[in-house]
Amino acid sequence: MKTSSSHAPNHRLLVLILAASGGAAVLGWGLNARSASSAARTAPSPVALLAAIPSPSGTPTPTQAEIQKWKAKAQQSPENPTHWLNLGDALMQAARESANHQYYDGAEKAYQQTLALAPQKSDAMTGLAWVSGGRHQFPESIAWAQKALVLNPSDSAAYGLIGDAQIEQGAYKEALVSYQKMLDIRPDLSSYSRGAQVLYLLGDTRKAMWLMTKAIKAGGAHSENTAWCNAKLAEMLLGEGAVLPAENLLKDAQKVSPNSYAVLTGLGQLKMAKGLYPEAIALYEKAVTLAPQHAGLVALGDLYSLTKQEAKAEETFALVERLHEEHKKLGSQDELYMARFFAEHSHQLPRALALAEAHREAKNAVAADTVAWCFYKNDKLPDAKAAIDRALGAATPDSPVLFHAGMIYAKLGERETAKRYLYKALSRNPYFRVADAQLAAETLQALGSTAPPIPEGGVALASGKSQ
Amino acid sequence: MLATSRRQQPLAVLLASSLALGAGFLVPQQAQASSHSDAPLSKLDPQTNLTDVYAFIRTRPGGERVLVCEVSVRPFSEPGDGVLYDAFASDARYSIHITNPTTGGEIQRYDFQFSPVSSAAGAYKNLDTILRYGRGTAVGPIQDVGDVRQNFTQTYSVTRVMGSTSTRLNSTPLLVPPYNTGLATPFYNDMNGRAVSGAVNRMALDKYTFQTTYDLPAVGMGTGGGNTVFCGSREDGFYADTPGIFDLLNSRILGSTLGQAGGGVDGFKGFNVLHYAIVIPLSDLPSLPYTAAFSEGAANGVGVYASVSRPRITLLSTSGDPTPSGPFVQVNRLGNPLFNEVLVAMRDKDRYNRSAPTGDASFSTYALNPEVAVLINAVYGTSFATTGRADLQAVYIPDVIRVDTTTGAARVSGTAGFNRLGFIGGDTLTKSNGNSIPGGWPNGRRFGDDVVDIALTAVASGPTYATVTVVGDNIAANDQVYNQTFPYAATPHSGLRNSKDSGPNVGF
Repeated sequence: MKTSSSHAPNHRLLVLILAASGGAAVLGWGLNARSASSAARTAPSPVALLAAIPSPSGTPTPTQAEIQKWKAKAQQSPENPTHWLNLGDALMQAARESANHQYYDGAEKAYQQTLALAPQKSDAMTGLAWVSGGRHQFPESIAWAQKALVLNPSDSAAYGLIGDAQIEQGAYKEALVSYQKMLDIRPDLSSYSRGAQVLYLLGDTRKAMWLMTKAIKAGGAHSENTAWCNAKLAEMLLGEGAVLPAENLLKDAQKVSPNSYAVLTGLGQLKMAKGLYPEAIALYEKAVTLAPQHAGLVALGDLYSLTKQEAKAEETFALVERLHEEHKKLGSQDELYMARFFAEHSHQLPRALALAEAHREAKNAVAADTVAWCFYKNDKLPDAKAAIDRALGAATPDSPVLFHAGMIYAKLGERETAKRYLYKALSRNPYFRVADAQLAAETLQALGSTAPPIPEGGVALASGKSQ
Repeated sequence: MLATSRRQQPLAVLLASSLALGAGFLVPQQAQASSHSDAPLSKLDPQTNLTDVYAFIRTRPGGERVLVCEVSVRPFSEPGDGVLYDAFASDARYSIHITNPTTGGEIQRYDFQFSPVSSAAGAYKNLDTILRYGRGTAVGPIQDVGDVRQNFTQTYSVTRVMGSTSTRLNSTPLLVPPYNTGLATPFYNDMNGRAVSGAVNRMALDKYTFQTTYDLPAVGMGTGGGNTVFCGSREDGFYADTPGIFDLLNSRILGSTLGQAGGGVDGFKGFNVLHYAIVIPLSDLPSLPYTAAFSEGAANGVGVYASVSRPRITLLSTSGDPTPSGPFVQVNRLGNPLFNEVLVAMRDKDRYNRSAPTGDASFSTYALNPEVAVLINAVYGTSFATTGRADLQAVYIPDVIRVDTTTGAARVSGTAGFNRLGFIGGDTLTKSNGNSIPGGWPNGRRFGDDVVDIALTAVASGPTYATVTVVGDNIAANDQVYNQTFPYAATPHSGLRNSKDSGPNVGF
């Protein structure tokens, strides 16, 4: 990787990513949720714990102020479990806002400390479910949420986290049930937005958008929550090519939350769809500087590539890999993001294949789609077909899935099926990923540029039976 | 027995079903009904039931700019109909009208008339077989259109009418390709027996379509080339959850406050239509000023609509075959999508079909005060504007599809930049005055334009469009790939293998 010193955003990013790993590595926080009970027994003293929880730098946001407040309170009266619980929640909110996985460790410690002081405090169990979910440790997340529900059957957040994990595991129908319970207990932004997400994944885009609009209207405790819902709604609109309404929504959201990375990346995506690459780059640069997050970094790298800034693209892609190495050290299991990144960029394909093999049975539509694309890029067509058929079966109205299906069927020689999938990908959303949308249109052109081959059955019939 | 008679229902039954639903905008429907069935009378006369008009600007390979006009008729043609299959009515005149875009007044017209279908008068090679396709004087798959294995071949002629001057554009009868029966028509289909579509140039068309796409010599008119024409069976390029839309209480389309329950179902999946189409060089057309919807400044172009007419008197001869006689009377017309189907009330649907666009001011109230908005508000508690809808009036009155003829070629489905939502999705064209205009409907209409989503979104968002509320039917694509060359409509589904509706529009 070339030096990034001349490129301010990338330099800043590198610092952020390294800071994340530094804090954890120095203190040797290698624990995860699975060992929570033993962790509680061997936890460091409250003073050491608080010293280890990073104090955010830069302009303090309301969430950072919350962290400081609860840190101070915990220091004052470390025997009060509520202080630790609130500290955990504030750290998790910071994780949401910054996409920075380093907060997970601190949050986990705070929740564990809560349980050490008050073993029946179910909210801390829900907190640990939240941490595990953030790290993509889904069975652990479900286990913690279920423990919380035993103590508090009306814990709506626990049902939400179980639903989240079920979605990731591809159990959409079960997630619907979990979210329904959450909605019944507490109809609010959290439950509406989750309901919207699962409906979208099940192909019910219209109702999903309606429910997400309700989530936005309901509002949340943190402006980030509403900004996130706005960005998700815009993503759904863009997902079906509705550029104008998405633009209206994001511009309004930006006025309220100018520093939300979700809104910024949404706007970047919109500018990319309109072919306004320099404007998109500026937005993504700001977004990833605020929150070094996978999708934003990948899109930024793609934009650098599209604008022939190869060196910057290379640096940004190197940062993507670096980010995931750090995530791995922090206990996050989001390796399928990397698999998709490798496959989409035809980079490190043997690693992509290994990851696909490891997740061969993935049921979640996006995961199965990723696995399919990794197999395709490694010329494992029967495996690719099996995975993409599973992804299609989930009915997620996703142009990338349709595009991948088209390319896989084209390579399998099933020309008409391939054309239909490619056409559908472009019809649903012509802006899904610039390079891929272009390839879809080109492949459709190539497949439709020659007369159809003469079917053998027909010819045989003609020569054999005609009189 | 006519091949279509089994789908007909007595008028009384249709009206009764509409009364039972108690909602005036609902067209009388069978279980498998269509927005295509735009009036009680035309529903009972499927061969004259126009379903969709498409009109858009394209460029010929040599660079000549042209207006492509294509019309679908005969909804729900069953690919595997068997016995007789659908054909154009020989006693009807199928027309494409070019009009003043502001007044709707006809400037020129292209008439298509077809040869008889009856066994007495039709061009059959062999009356001692049950097969129309696959056995004429020989048995086997059809190798070329009209060959010895194609028992019945319908032919047609095209006439251009300007005022009192009629000009025949073809010197010899033009052939209609065979229906896609399956094995008897192998060049339509792939190894799996499914229709092949999505050609991007003329040479890539299937053999039958290629052989029946005719470049006619220029006869009079402007300085450009001649017309290109095609008539025959095509896949129905319209896609919509009409079963849901016309079942007012069906939450599949509009659940509580516009949410939907479940995915959409494409009611047209797996069906064919009959299709007549013409390519007109822009040098043959006027370019008249008008005010275009969703576009700043003046636009220049034409209006387009389609009609079907029958002779005023049909005498039955002693052999029982219909004999056309007398002047033509219009029995069906169609301009913009969804106007007569969704906006015009029951009392006026048949009157609409009998009248010309020049009198459409009398239908203005249906656009200005759309009942569909009233109904949605009543049932779902929304507050869409129900009066003063000048935005809808600009699109629908008079009911001709206005096409700006000063733009470059419209993007076609499957190519970069095409967006099924047209201007809502940022797909625009540039007029000669430098301003943008929608890339698809309501500036012309292309194959793949999602007219249901565009229209419902307009109803929900106008007249101010301060907030654009996307409303639609959850069907985002046709079930077949359109051609990217004339005829842009897709290859007809095979009678032997096709897939019908049901379920999310993802699988095949």
